[in-house]
Amino acid sequence: MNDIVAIGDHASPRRDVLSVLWAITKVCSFHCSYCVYYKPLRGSEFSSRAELLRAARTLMRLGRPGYQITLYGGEPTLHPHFEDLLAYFMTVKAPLELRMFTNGAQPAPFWERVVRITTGFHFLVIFSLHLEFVNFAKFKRAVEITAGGGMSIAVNFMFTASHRDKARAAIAELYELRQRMPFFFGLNFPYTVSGEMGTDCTEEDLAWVEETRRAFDAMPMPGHLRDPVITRIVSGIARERDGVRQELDPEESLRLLSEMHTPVYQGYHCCSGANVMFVEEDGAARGGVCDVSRFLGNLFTDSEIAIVQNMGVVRCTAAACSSIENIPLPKFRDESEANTCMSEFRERARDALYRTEAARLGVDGPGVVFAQADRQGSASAT
Amino acid sequence: MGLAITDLPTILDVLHVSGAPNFVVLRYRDYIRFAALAGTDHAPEVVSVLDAGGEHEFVIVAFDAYWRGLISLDIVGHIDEASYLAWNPDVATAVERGEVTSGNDHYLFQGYLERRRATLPATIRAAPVDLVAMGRPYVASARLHFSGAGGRRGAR
Repeated sequence: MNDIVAIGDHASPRRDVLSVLWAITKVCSFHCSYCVYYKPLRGSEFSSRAELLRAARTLMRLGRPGYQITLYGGEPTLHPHFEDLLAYFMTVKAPLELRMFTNGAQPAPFWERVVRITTGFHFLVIFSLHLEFVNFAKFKRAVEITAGGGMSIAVNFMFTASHRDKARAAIAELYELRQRMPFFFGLNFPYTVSGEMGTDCTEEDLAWVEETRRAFDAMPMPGHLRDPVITRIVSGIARERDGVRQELDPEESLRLLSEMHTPVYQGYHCCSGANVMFVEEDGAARGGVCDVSRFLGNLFTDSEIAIVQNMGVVRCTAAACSSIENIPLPKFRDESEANTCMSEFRERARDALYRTEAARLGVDGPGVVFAQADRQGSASAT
Repeated sequence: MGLAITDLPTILDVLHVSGAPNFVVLRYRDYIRFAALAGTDHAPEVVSVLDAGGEHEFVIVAFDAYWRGLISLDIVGHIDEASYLAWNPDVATAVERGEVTSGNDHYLFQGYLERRRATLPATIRAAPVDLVAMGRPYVASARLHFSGAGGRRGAR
């Protein structure tokens, strides 16, 4: 790590693709100890339909060459206008990869509507299975409807030692379901507050987890389905040894990144908002998933122009990076290098915005009519 | 970078602070068209976007930034010289005295931002490949102007 001088998606062809992590509500019907957000449903207020759609529209008007939008919360499906938002995203022309984290607690008719709304679109859903709260029959039915409806979905099972018996029974049922329909599967341990995983697990638990992972991985998966859990981690790393700078290839970069179990970018200069945005339930948009990132504006009230203009370099002071979603953000040891990179990002972002808006408004026609034949005449006055 | 004189956004208002022009108010769609045609190097950053009926309606940009964007552009096309001088006798006098090269130049670098009355051409025609050979009959280069007469007018 000491010789790394730059990290982030600033050189690849995908660098301008915007990754948006959007907590449309913090309200959740569960209360998992390891979740960062929670608000009880009772008495909670939600953003209006107009606010939600304005925010989505503002994102699309940025004119980025691609978007990866992740809806999460809280429980995003509890937002009363969730289906309106989903329907809106189905109409946009921009290259969009939309995915969602959900606890799968909604009833079957809800998931049937989701399948209907998203027909013909690759809507990726990650069902997080929390045995301490879930109605498993309902959860399984949600998986059955969506996977059976042809969607790319994943089940992310959070294993806790205190629920090992229920876990084994649930896995047996999911395994049987997986034999009938394809879905991606992950078995993980929640982090404790102190950052530990697999607390109170026995050797037998750990062996069972490994065996279960292997069993699910061995099942065939249709090639057209996409793993919703895979995030945009493609990221170049540049390091400097003995004064020589070396750009690592993607494979080597990924290997190095995976070695950093808790990535720390403290002291780095981060291009906040360049290609990662974090949106909170009140519409506040930040240029990264952390408190250090810049405030870009509010998607419920501010213009897309403000969002782009507020992108800027921040110096990371965090003891550990807050999220894996921050990986594409370009980060540099050298401040001037970060400023140059940020300036290029901003200019490209402004250009994309102007062109998109000009096309939308129908004002993108040529400003000058060139006519060789008329070169000797004076400009005609009205 | 060339831009037709007809593509300059209509200035709706110039807001003054302590007697000096500080902000320019433009229609949103005019600003976007200008920015898309002129490019990010010439488009001033926006101070504020004002909405009406749920749509962007107006933008406010900094006067100085707008001016700097304009002077770095090649503006193609002429206003009607005779009517401009007739409507603006102070400019006609300045042209007579040789303080300003033409009414058109005055309009581009001062009159436009002062929202002076002028008649714009219906269509701009120019030949992009041999402007120099043509003696720049239709092109007023703001940059060149600024380095000459415009600079002497105290332009920043």
